[in-house]
Amino acid sequence: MNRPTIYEERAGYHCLTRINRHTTDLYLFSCGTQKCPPGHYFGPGSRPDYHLHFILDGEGYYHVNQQKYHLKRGQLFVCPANTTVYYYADVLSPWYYSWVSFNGAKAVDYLKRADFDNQHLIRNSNIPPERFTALIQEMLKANQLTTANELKRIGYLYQLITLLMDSNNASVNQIYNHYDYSSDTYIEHARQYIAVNYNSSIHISDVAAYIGINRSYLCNVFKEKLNMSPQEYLIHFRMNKAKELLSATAYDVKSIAGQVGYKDALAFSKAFKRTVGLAPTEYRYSLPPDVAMPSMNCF
Amino acid sequence: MSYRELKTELANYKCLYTAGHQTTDLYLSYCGIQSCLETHSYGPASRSEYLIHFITRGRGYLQIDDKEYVLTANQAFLIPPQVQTFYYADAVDPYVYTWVGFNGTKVPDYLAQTDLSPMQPVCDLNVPAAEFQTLIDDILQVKELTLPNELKRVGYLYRILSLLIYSSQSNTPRKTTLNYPSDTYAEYAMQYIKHHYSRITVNDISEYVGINRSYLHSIFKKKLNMSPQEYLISYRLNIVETLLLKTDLSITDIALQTGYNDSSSLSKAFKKQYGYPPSSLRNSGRRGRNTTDE
Repeated sequence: MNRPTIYEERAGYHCLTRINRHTTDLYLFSCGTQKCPPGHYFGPGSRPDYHLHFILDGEGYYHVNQQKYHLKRGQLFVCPANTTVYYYADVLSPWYYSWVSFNGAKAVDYLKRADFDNQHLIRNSNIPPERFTALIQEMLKANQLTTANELKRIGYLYQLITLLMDSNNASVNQIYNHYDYSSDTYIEHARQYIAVNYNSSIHISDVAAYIGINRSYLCNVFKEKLNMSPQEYLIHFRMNKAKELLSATAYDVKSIAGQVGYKDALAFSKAFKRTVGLAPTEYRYSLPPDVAMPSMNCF
Repeated sequence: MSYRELKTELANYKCLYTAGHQTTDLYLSYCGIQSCLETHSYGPASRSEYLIHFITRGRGYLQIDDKEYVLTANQAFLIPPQVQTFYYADAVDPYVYTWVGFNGTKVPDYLAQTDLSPMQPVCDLNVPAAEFQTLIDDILQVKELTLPNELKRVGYLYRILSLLIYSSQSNTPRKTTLNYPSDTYAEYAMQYIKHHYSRITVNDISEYVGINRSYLHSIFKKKLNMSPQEYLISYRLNIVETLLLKTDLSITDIALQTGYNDSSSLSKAFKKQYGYPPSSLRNSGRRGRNTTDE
């Protein structure tokens, strides 16, 4: 834990390094920006943390795992922890980059989610390097050796990691193919959303968009876990609410239709009959007169 | 792991619930914003996470542990887990507040840095409550159940706690909460001096490190047996010495490079430290070097 924080600031070089930490999931070692002189290099050497570089300008070369890469503006490269790396600036057009280095129990998982692993240490980014650098500048401004500043730096680091996850061109098409949570979690999330929004005219596509997964995946998990489609679930939910309202209130059918998310009373009546087997008014009259008022426990 | 996230938006009420998380140090349970109606109340109830409200306007009342607190604008109040509370808006001037519920293994450590504790559940804010609201608004914008969004929310949550700690510590004039070993502070200060010696004062150093001047003084005394001022001067004079011996720069140039206004203030400081003027060092150094060279 005895890792003093060191801040360096010289022409073309800003750096905050060896930072103390009060977090275990993810913590910052160093960050900075550097306009490298021609031929400026690091290594061959290894470090105990993950170094992530954002090339803002110029060119350079990166050697790792017997591979050699020629990199330029807009590209990212990761130096994995405890791995020998060697990288250097081009002589004619030396690179200018910003970097952040970190580690923690979740670091590998987060990098993987951003499409980096030991076989994939470089890539393009569809987010300009300036946006990452802006977050690094914010970290550099939070230079004080106080918990307030440390948590601020961590906050920005989380934002940077998030941006990194969103920055892969390749995953734009497959963004919905990342399933970060279990199907039970998605279902519970969908049910909660429906429980709050059934009374407005929501569609299954709204539910899917809200959760952040695609519609067909949502259908799959519903079918698999509940043995019904989300559409069927939504209708059942609305009809149960309608039954409560029919038995507990004297509202007319049109009003009840509106309260369970149907603009069209006729469509509501049809759906009700299909689900319950009786028309709404028939249902109301079929109830025993002393039926207990169900609790109107809406959200 | 169960995850529940739920966003409701009414005219005066915006809220996001999450439960379940992929971080352990700190995670968000829920947050929201509400303009309360007169006599709006919540409770009696207890919760399983830490909940902080930031009041932006109006008044309200908090009952906790058989005590009642009056709540006013620009205050925060904490509801610790498993503690029964009841709170309600003033009938005439109901409060508007934002809230954030969170938990995690590090929360007790983080809260210990703030003015809020189970013993002292209400505190004044020394930054506008609106700044907390802005961060909570940012969280409310990222609702999807994806890992990037979860981490983005956690990032904002860290900034909320950072702001709360900052607010608490600017409360009493620098209630110095020391979170790092004194060697760490000393080393950080020395690094800062190394890169900025020519244009800083001791105040700049303590401001930069984030501790007060007298504490900085005492750790320098303890570690180096000199004050930060003395350290800064001797650091500068070391550079002066090198420049005198290794370059042909004039004393005026050396003075300007090392943070002295002119050659006479450099000479004065130099003589005070070493007992002889800079020019005699240069002459004797030259002579010594010439002898070895030949």
